[in-house]
Amino acid sequence: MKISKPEVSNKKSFYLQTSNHHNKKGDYKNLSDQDLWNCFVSGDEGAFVLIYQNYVDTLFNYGLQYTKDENLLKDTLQDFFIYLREKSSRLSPTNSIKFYLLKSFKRRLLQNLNSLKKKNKMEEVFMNEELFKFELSYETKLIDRQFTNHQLDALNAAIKKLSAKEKEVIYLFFFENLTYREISEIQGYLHISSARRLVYKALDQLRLNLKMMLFLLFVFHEFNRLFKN
Amino acid sequence: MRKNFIELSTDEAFKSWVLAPNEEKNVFWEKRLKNDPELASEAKKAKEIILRLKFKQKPLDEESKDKILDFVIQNSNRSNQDDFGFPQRGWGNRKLFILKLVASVALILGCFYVYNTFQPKQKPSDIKKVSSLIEKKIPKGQKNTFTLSDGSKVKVNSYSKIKFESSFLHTQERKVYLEGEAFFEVVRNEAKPFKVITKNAEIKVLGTSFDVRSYPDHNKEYIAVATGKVEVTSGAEAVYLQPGEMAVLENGKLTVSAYDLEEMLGWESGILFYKEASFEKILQKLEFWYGVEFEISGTKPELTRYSGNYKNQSLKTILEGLSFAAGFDYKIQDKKVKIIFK
Repeated sequence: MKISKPEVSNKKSFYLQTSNHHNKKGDYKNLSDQDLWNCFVSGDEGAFVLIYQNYVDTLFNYGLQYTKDENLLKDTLQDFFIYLREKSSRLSPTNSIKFYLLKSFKRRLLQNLNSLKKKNKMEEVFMNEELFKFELSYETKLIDRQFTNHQLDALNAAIKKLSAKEKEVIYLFFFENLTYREISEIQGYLHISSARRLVYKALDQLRLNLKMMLFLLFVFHEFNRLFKN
Repeated sequence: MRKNFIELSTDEAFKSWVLAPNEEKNVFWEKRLKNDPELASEAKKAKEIILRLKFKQKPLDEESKDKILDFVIQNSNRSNQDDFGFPQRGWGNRKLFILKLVASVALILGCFYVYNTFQPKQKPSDIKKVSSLIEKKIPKGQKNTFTLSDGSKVKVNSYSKIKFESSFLHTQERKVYLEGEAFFEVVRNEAKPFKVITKNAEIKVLGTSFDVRSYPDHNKEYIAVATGKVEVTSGAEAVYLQPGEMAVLENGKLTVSAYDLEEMLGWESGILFYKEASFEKILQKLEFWYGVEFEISGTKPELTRYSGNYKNQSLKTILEGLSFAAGFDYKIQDKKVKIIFK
């Protein structure tokens, strides 16, 4: 004779239903950012863990552009995610989790860095030339090379002259692939065009510098040739 | 007008194609570039610039990732709903609140009961002389300051017990019994000496400030003087201490020496200090200071000595430093700390 335990199975399915009301296990991958975020906001632990795993590197790396103090970053990350969880039911919806996290993480990180700076514990928290430092790599495996090493030298020299703000906008635009609208919000600009203008200005400066440097290089080479002859 | 490579690379759609291509974008751009060879050559440059951009890049190591995630999950109250739809936090808080309420009421009633039962029945004429002994116990992880009836102040360190008369009006001396550590600031009263009685010593002062450290499970007792003069007696021995001096009592012998201000008196202003201390000793200090319990796995260093000086720091900050020096991992779970030696 078959013995059934309806009570137990009912309860189990009740658990499954309530704890995963948005999706079945393992289905997160197909969710849009918006839906994954909604899962997290309504208390889904799996969604939280996935969000953490997907974005902890992004946030850590963003932080690294500001400071090389990795322990400070780890602490900040820890506090940040605790804050997110505790506030989760009151978080606003978003269709780009990355953007949302970068924006609120930045606020928290800057608070921490500023308070450290005030305490004078770390004078080197903000080393301006280190902030969002980047260069054009000389990687040769790229197909279709358009620039010579000399040209890259010239561009890199020009990059060094960019302001920290310009570099940060370039980081967010090209490295994190954010839109101008998102960047404006992260940077606290009133108009989207501000972010666009900044990226354009920075890159255009590179172009002008490139032209000038190439001209100088040309002159230099010509001189060399003349003198050698 | 045709776009040059700078304009192209700052074009949101173009950049997004280079960084995150998909079929739709491929179709769009390939078609566009095919019909415009000059734009195509600019596009190559723009693409190369975008792909060559190199920022500082470093992923977080897996171990830290796990550590942070564990800590985050264990240390946050999620304001979500539990399986039955009750908001967890609200209910949890209410429970805690009720528990606290019950505990405080019980404590008050208890005190009242103890006061009444142990109070010797007095005749009306004796009432003036009545004064009761107050006992205060400070648990690990806490410190507390009391003002005695003569105005003297006692700051009692964690894991200590102190007993004193509720009133010194009708006593010959101002006597305080101490187990553990306390810092005294005694109001001067030459007519009534102030005495601290510990396990093995008696400290007599008129008006000074000094620290007494006498934990029952330590075989050494320390008396360190900040201001004024202090007389310390133990059995037949007696020493007089000046400011900056400390008496150490061990096996009935009193020795006088200078002391390290932060080591002896730092606790009072929130400075956790250890110098050339063994791992064991530091853990004990932390247990007292933060009211936590340690659980150690792996082999701990026996011979290494550590020094540290922290002002009003969290346990985490201290463990962060110590774990680096001694080479261990740690996990703080509420009041339990796991220490794992690699």
